[in-house]
Amino acid sequence: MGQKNSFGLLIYIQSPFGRKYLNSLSDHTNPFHMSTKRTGPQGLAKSAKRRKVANEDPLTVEQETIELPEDVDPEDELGQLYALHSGYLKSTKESPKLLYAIVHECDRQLRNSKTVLPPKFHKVYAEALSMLSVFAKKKKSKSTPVASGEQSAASSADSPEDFLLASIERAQIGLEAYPEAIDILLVRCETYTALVELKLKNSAKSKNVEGCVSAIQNATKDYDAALKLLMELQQKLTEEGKKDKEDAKGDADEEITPEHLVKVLRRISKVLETTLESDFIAERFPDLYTWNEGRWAAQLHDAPEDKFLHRGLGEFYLARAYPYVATVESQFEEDNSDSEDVELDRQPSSIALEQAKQFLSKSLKHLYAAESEEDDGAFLAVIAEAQISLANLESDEDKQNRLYAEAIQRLLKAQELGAGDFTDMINELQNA
Amino acid sequence: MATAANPRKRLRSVSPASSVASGATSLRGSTPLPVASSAIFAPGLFDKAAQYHAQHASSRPYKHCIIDELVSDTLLRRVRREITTQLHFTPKETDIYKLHQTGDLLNISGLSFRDRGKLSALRSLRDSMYSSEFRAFITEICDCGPLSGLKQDMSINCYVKGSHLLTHDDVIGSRRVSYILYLPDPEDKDCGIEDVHGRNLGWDPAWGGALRLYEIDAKGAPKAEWNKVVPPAWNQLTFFVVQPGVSFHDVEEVVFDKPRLAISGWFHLPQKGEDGYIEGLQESLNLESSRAALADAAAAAAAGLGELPSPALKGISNFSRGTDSTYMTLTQQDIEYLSVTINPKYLDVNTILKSRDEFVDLSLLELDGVLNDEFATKLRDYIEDLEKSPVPVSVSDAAKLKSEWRVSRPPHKHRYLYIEPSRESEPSTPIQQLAAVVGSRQFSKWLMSITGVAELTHSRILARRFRQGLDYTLATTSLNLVDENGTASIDNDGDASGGLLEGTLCITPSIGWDEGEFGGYELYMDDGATNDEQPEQKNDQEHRHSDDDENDPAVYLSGSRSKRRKELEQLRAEAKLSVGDDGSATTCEGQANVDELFDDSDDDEEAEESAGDSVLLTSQAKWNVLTIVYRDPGVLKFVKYVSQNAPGSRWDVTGEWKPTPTHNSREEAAVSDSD
Repeated sequence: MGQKNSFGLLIYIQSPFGRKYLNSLSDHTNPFHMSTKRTGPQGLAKSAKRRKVANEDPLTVEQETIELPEDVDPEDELGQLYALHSGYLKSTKESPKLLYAIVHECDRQLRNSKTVLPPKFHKVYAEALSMLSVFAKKKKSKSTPVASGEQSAASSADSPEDFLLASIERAQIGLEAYPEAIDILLVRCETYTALVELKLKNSAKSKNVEGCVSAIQNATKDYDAALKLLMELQQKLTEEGKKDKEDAKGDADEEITPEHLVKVLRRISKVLETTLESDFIAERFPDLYTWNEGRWAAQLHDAPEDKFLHRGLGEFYLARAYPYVATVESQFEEDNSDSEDVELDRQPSSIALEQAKQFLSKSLKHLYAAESEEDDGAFLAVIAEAQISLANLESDEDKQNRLYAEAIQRLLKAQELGAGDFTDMINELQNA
Repeated sequence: MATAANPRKRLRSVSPASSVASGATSLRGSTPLPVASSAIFAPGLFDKAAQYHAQHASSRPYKHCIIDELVSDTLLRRVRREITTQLHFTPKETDIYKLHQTGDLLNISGLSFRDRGKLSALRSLRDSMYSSEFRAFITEICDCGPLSGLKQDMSINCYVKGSHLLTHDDVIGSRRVSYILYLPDPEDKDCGIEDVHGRNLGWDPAWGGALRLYEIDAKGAPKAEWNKVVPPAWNQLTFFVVQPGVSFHDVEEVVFDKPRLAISGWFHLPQKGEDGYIEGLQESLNLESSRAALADAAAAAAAGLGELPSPALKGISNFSRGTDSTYMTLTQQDIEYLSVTINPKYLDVNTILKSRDEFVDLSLLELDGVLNDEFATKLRDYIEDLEKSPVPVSVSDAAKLKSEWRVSRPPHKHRYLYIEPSRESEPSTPIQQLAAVVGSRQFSKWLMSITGVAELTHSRILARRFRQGLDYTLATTSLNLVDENGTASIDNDGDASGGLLEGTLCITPSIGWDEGEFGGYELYMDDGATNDEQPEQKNDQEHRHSDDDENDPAVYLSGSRSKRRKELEQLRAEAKLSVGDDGSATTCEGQANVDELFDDSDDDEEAEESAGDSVLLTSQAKWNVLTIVYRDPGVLKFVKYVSQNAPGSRWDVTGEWKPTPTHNSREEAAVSDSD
């Protein structure tokens, strides 16, 4: 090999700490000499971690200027906050930046305020947190939800659920100060509903369907409390005239209307419809469905011609029919396909059949009432589906044919309106 | 059907955009049919408890039971149809297995009415197997005490060509009885195997996939080879009581292109609130099992039945410690000694300095062509000749063939053929010669030069052959290494670094290993405990019960940590095997369907990302490549099982060198001082 052992080189050795240490080999006159002072390898895992950290981009701080309307008093911090909130609601809502700004500003005002903050402040804070959940990362971190207003919610809550829980907690703090703030109640009600939506979305893997029940119950309680307060408020306005209106509303500048409540009810109703896909809640908490039915009926009582209400109740009954339809259908299939399975015991389905027909009939009654010339194709397809479902269970052939024929007409129109391709379905109905 | 309705038309549901329509149109679903257990099981099954009890009591190598016909043939065919048409299987691979698996069947309960209807037979089977009647039946046969009906633990495995499950004893958490119910295709025309009634058993034992039970030399010390083979058969249930250190078994690799479908799982100890629940029993059994395993290992070692080769590192001889400069200095004589086998390129000072910088930065070097041409040719000819000769399969074969190779043990840690370099006799074969060079003080000094690791005090060198269809090492950390007295952990010195320098010179002459399909690769992965602090010292038994093993039916004992193993399995889950129609029904947003439930894709993505971070190095089997690693404490390493279909054996010479205890801590202190 003939390598000389004396080089007198100066070499740099990269330290894992990012510094370079001069190491003179001439001290030892041998390149193969290993000084115990030299920084050696740190290990495969540590080296990999160090490289990973080194490769990560430094944090980029993006600064943006947010313009407020000219009529906002620059000295009015709350006014600025509300303007930010209002600005977000009017925006395309595609970015969370404004929401972060709102939460940050809420945090700041909470720390610095020497006076009692108004109910709208709590509503804005809770609503911003709730809306941030849409932008939160899917993966749940180990960070704990916000425990108090003194902490920065935006920095400590980073999963959708964390944001929703933080919102509920913020609403709770607001309601403790203002128990009759309808707007905070409705924000919390919708946040509970959003929490259920989230849980249902993840329920297949987390098996946490039962975890939804208390959140749904809380949502219904908040809805009822808000409804009661709204009715009292309307009563008061009617009795005392408009002069007291401002007092009754506090500083809330957006008036809560019955229509607002109906929108919240529809959201709860959709959640309950989804829970009907799992028998856990449907079987053990029938009161929830009775509650929902009752609230729709009460709304309809006040506005019997309201198509939106009819549609909501019709769709709810349709979902209610579903488990019974599924039971009946499964037994149809068993009868038709597995004739060899005679040893399997069967559950009598007459009750399921009657229930299915009852709910489908109720559903169609309201869906027909909701139908109008302006309907989108999707709603027509929903009605057609209800008709086909009922027809499938119908023993009277005339009724059955009539329902199929009407369903065909609606499917044709739905198809024209671009709601989907129902050609096969229509052909099947026509040729059967 | 008790109904007045006689529907004339049975219509497929439409899929309108409306969210409610998905509920409205789901007309094809069904609720699970309540089926009596008596209708599920084979006629007269429960009358044969005494017969099965006797079979169980007299079985060897440890007590187990085989029921040839468990359930109604009709039902099982429906179950098989549901599985093959409705479920997705995810390919999973870790150090210990390679298979396709569904999610936990417990999830069926979380399905919607409609989707559950698609799995109604499967649900009936599951519920019946965990019914009080059937659990009592199992208890009576096994004398194993009450079993939980609450904790159900069942999944479906599909072994395809190349799939396998290596040796383990199933001891995790509250598992009490392991079972497997086979569902090969009972209509398979290629299978000529029938039962006494002329019914197709669906599986030819020549296709592999058998359950194999291991006899033990002592508790915790299974023999290197199995001694009972149970081939799959349609509708056959095999089960045994989980016994720490005793119930060792594996699943032979499937060698034919047939899917070996089976439902497997465990009956657990009664859970809180159930009859037979005993407060603290599980915890005490786990603790007892951990202690017993340690005691068993010590007893086995004392009886000469300990691990082979010995995990002990031996002091590097002929190093005159102290002030002698030749102790740490690679001399001209050393270089001349090494140049007989080592490529001169790697003895060149510039290469060494460059490599050292790289190693200090990466803690990793991969040196291609490290053996010089002359020696490499001689070695290759020798190994290729060995490949053509009869392979010793068992310990007795090795003795009969008067082979220089020994069989390692125990198989729940590793199995391969090995040679340890002899310090007494001159090496007589090229592979012994190579092992002697790697074990020499000159090679240690060269390692110090090329890696920058200051002092190496102990080492262990092995030449290994991993035979097709037999050999592997399971993932372990370096923490189980002991000193030359064989008693204390090598890392019990309180050293803050505590790592090992490791080198594997892969000398596999055959080609076709690059994709890893046939295994044989060596893999390092971070167990997640590697940080700036010394990881908690844990023995293998403690690892077994840590993390989330209890919740992961796919994790078995092998002395590794479960968390990273789970990530590892996901890492290799590159594609999904769809075994049938996934069903076209629509679902509401927020509600999972069958496919979503049994499809881990979301989890896979996260786990793959995570596993991508944790896998530190994968070295495929190659010719003449030396991989040197400075292995942190807690980093896992294994050599993947070599498939029966591999192009040859994997061959290597591997070494572990222990640096001085103060190696890095002293340097870090120096760096700190410089700050």
